[in-house]
Amino acid sequence: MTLPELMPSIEALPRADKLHLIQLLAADVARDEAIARELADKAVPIWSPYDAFDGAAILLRALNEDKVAS
Amino acid sequence: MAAAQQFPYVAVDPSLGAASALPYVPLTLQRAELSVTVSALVDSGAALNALPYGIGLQPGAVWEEQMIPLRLTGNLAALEARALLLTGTLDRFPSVRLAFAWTRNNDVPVILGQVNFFMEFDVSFFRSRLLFEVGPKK
Repeated sequence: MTLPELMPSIEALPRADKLHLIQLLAADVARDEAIARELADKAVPIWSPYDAFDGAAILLRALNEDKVAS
Repeated sequence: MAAAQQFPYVAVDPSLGAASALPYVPLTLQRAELSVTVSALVDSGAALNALPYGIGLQPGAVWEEQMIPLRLTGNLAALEARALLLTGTLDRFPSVRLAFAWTRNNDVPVILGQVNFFMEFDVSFFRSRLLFEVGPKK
């Protein structure tokens, strides 16, 4: 749902609900930014062996040979 | 056949909570009479299973006896890796043969990737609920 679609519903809210909505949105944005800041401060290693398909093919061959041998 | 089992995501950095949550499963790796139980990362983006050097030693694997060299990618590309076959037991499911790229690197987690963990187990992720489900292949 887009903001223009939401606006009529938001404008129809009582004043107290509008204030509550502002608080909820502010807290939500602050939480996201806090997480983003913490992540930005940390070096996150990515260990996944992406695209190691040659290695994967070798492992499959080893498994097949193991199956034949056992 | 055993029904699929649900596991919770594990927050690896408590200060980040759910932002650092990853799908780790307890897995026992066995070779002959020796075994080691590890917490292994279920990684659907990994082309293959990977095992850090120190963990491979615990069930008695000997580096010099592993004759099949492998070339890895990403952070793992810098160090040598060799193929290692172990018997893996997850939860109460029947044991399976798992083929690992055994790397000289000790910083890497145990990674369960497409070859051949995802060929042996059916996995569903429910990240929004911080759960994932693993069961034997059908």
